[in-house]
Amino acid sequence: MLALNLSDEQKVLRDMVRDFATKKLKPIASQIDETEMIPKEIISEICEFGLLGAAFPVEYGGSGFGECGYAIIAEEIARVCMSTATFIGAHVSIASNSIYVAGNEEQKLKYLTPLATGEKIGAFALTESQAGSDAFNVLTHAELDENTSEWILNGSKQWISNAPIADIFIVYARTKRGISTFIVEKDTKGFTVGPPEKKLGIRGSQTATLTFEDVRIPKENLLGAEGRGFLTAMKVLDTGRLGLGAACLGACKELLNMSVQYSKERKQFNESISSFQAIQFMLAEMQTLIYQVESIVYRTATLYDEGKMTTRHAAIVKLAASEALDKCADYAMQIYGGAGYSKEYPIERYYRDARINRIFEGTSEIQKIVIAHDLLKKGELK
Amino acid sequence: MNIAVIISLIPEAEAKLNITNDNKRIEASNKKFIINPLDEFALEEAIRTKEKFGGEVKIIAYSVIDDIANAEVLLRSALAVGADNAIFIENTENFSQALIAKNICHYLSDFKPDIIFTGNKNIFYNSTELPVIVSTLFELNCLTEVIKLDFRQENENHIIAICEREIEIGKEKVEIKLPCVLAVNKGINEPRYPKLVDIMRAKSKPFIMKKAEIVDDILDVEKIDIVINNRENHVINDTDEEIKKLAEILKTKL
Repeated sequence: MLALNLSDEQKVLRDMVRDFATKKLKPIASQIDETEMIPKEIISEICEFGLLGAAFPVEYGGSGFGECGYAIIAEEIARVCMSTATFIGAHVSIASNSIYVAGNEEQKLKYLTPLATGEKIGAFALTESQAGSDAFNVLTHAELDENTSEWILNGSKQWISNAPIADIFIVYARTKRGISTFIVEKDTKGFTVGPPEKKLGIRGSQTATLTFEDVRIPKENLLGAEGRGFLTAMKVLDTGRLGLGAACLGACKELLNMSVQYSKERKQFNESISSFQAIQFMLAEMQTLIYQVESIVYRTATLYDEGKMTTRHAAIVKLAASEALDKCADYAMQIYGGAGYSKEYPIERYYRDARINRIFEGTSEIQKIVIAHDLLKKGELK
Repeated sequence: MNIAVIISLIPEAEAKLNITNDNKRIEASNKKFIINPLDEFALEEAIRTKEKFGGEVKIIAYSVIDDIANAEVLLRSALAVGADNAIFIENTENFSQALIAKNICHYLSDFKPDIIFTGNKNIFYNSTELPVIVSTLFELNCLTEVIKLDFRQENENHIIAICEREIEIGKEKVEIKLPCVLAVNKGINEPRYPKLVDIMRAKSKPFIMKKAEIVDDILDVEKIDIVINNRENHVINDTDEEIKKLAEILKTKL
């Protein structure tokens, strides 16, 4: 793919999501930030349109738009509300996708379908207090009770997006053969979700800790083969990183649009500040970053749909897009000056919401390690 | 029930348009077009009517300017919302509403519509006559400014549309026997978004481009002028002096 050629269906999708985001989500984006929750009605609408199932095939309640379609959705939603984009990302790219990637047919029908239609909300639980970047070091563990054919899960998880609203949790835990993946339902005995954490940004995306005390899980809820969980997690995080890149792209574009508009309106020394080269340089930098990020996001999404995306591609997208967003948010703040720092304008929210993207789903530093290791091992990117 | 919806495609409000050198054509290449917003209400009402009675929703569409790039995308989105098939009549630029109506009737005559829905106004040309002319050509009853619609079914072949209309002093409730033409206004409904799975399904719904068959017009466009309204922006601060200034502006400029 050399140019960004969207199909007619993708164009209809983009127009529809943009319209929804602009009319329904944008007016309440600051409310979502302040109240630290996404209204239920908005989540219902998102589910009703099928935004949560775009990436998955029709037989599992999706619509078959693939990763390109998902990237369009992530971009358009993140333009107006990074909290909502994070909610969607956690639900689709890492939670639902774990089942799509590793689940058997029965598990896909039972769990992926209600996730894709939005009937159930999903969360992905890998991180623990001592296992962040060092994801392999999870201490949550599961043992098989041979008598009852149940797994018994113990331990805790931290920073789990969507936890307070989720029905289905994808939990990564240590077993005899390595790390394994389990599907845990909300009301399982011994499983508790902590209160939502207080955060700097993406405050509408609720994050909490999970605690497992002798939680009994039916044997059939082991996702994929025992001991293959780490591979599942890495594969799923690749998808997550690509989707996250698309979300960063959307926020970058909105920041540039707002910056262009404001710099034309704001007058200093009797001139619009857009006439000053210092401002123009910042706008030019933002535009250049956006073009770069847009190119790699959609090129990589196309590779994904063709089954050709590698871990290195996903890491490049995540690194480039999250760093670009940080720069764009910083430039926008500088262009808006004091106005940007005040709550009167949405710039400060974008600034706060941007920062997490360089941290979660693998820090920028981890992405560099992934890229460098893969480069040194396999050579030139094909 | 055979339900037709007339949809016009117009440049979006923010699009900056130019005029050709002979002052007779609007240039809109690379501009984004939208479905005339009032026609979106008509489409939604058509789909609701189909949901009530079953049948088929046929879209018949035209564009106010020929060099439209995204007609198919717009009409595919209308199909995704729930219409069954669409005909797009090409090359209707600078057509009078009467000539557009003749072409619409030409392509709709075999369909024998029980109801034809359309928006009350084409906001691009600020014209409201199309539904009335279509109804005249089909020899049907017509109601405009419809803001509420219900039905009463007397028997299988006798359906009455109960319409609320906006009139100068308030609202009027009118009953009209099908078949008829209904021109709807804002407020009649809230148009739905298409579901993603229906966007995919719309790919396989019939979409046909047709040339305008009837081209002899009774009107000829002499000249088009674009009037640019430059907005004056003043920021007034909360001081006595500034408030006096505001009063002065209100007195002199309005």
